Amino acid sequence: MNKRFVKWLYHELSELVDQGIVPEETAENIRQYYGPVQEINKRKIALIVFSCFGAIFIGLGILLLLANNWSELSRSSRTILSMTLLLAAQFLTGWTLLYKKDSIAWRESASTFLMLSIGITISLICQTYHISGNTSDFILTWMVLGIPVVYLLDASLPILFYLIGMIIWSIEVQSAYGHAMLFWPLFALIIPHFWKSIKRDPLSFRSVHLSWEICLCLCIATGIVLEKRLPGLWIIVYASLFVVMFYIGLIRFDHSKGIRYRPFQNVGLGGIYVLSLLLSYDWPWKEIGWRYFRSGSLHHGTAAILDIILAVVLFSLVICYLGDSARKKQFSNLYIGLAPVVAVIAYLIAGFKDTTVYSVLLFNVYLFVLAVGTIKMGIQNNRLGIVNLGMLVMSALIFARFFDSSISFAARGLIFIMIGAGFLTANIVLTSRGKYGEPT
Amino acid sequence: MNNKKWLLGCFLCLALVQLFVPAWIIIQREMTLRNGQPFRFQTDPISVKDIFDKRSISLPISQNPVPKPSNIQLFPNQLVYVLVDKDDQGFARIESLSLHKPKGNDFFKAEVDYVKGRQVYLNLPFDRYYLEEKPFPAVSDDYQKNDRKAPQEGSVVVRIDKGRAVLEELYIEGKPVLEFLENFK
Repeated sequence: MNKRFVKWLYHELSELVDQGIVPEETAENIRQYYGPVQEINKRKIALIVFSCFGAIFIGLGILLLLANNWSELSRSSRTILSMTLLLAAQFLTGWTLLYKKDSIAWRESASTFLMLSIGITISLICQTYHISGNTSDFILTWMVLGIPVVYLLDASLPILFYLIGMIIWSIEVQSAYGHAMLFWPLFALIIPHFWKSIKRDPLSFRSVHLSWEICLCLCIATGIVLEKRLPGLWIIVYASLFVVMFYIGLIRFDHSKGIRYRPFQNVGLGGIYVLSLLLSYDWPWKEIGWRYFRSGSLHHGTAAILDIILAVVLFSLVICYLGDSARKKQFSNLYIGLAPVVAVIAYLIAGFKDTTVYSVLLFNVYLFVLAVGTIKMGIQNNRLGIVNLGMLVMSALIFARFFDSSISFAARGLIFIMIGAGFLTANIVLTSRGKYGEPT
Repeated sequence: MNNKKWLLGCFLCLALVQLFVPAWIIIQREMTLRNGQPFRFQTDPISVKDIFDKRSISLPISQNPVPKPSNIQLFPNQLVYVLVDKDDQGFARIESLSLHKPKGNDFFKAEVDYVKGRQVYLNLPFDRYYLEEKPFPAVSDDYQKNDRKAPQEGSVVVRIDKGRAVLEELYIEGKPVLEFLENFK
């Protein structure tokens, strides 16, 4: 249960016990059932955050100081200074490992300083020797040299730099006609650290911020890493990825906590809504499928196979999720998990027939059902936030279609009247059942 | 305690690897600068404005692109061996490209950027020169009023040894770039 509600309940319990309404024994049983309210140590978090920012600013400040006198230094002096910076960061990290291992603030700031120093040192040396080598090699070297620090110091902030670095590396490699297949094994390097963190406490500050970083990184990187030899495969990959994220969130994270504690559910759900809205237009469905298969030396065969493997693996996980939801009779989750299934059907239709109409129609219907389902779920669970989310999705769909110039005025008019009539009918049916109370 | 020793041992190994990578870059470059043969590559005219305004300038090496050899298939990012020679005026000339390591010492490794028709565009390891931030502000201000804005003739001296090429100096109008900037009035 939300921490705020538990606090409120405990406050009320004391009063109820005082008034003699609830026996002390029952109150104690309730307290034992919900457990203690764990207060976040804000001072501790502030200390860690300030230490990390301190390390970042010191690293960057040293870089600027070096740059100020750079022109007056000989090549050997520049080289020695660059290496000294790395040595100093390593010394600090070693000292932290020996004497401050129990301090999170020290571990996070020292590891961040070392992570930054590796990049600064290599770039200063490259600058000294006018090495024009490609950016992707530089970033890859930096990241691979830096990531073990995460495990040695049990620190998480370097992972943020690592993930940003890997995204930039993927962009660089793909834009230079290369392939970014290596992203996946490199991404996997952080999983043991993340797993350890969520096993320890899935709702800790570290687990939550790592979850957000991983979710956002996957959202951005997946599209970049895809080789895109089979046009439109991204639709199935992204639809499946978002559902898998939602599924992971459901099984691994306590969904009774606040929004910020549920990155996997939120990113997954948000992704499904946004993707479905995009797929309700006709542009994603144009020139896709095997008939437009891209060939030539600029596309890599192995990377293209990896795209298909990724799509198959993610879609298989979606099938697991759907089976699991059906087995547990969680039908409200079923229609969320249907997005990849609808995507596959729409993709096959667009691939076989050279028309986008059916695929667009399918996703418009799906998004409509999704929005109505969300509103229904919100009403059933008495959660205004979910009702509002459903309304927002519905409004977005209405807005998108109202201004969709590819549909004639007459057709749009008829569809809107039919949907409006449908809503009114549903309202009448619900009211007549008396389940949701009288309309206001 | 054992755990701490083990961690410290791992950290020391990591620190050595972290130091080894930049140190190896330095050693390789220093060895090439010390033992390599100097080759002077001509560049297309270099904009003086770029030298003043940017922290690094891209060097338009005149020999790039090079004619595509008819007997080999080339792809972007492919590693090739570039054979060099000197012309009558003493400037370096790219002789040919090879997929196999040539004999002798007058070659360096480069990556294919892209192939267009019969021309191969290479990512040369000496096509960028790094300058300090605003090295000569007074000169820079003077430059704004100066009418010598036309691009200047440039060249780079590159040391080549064991397949590695390292940029030694950039010359503008026959003078090292810093000397040229100091006297630019």
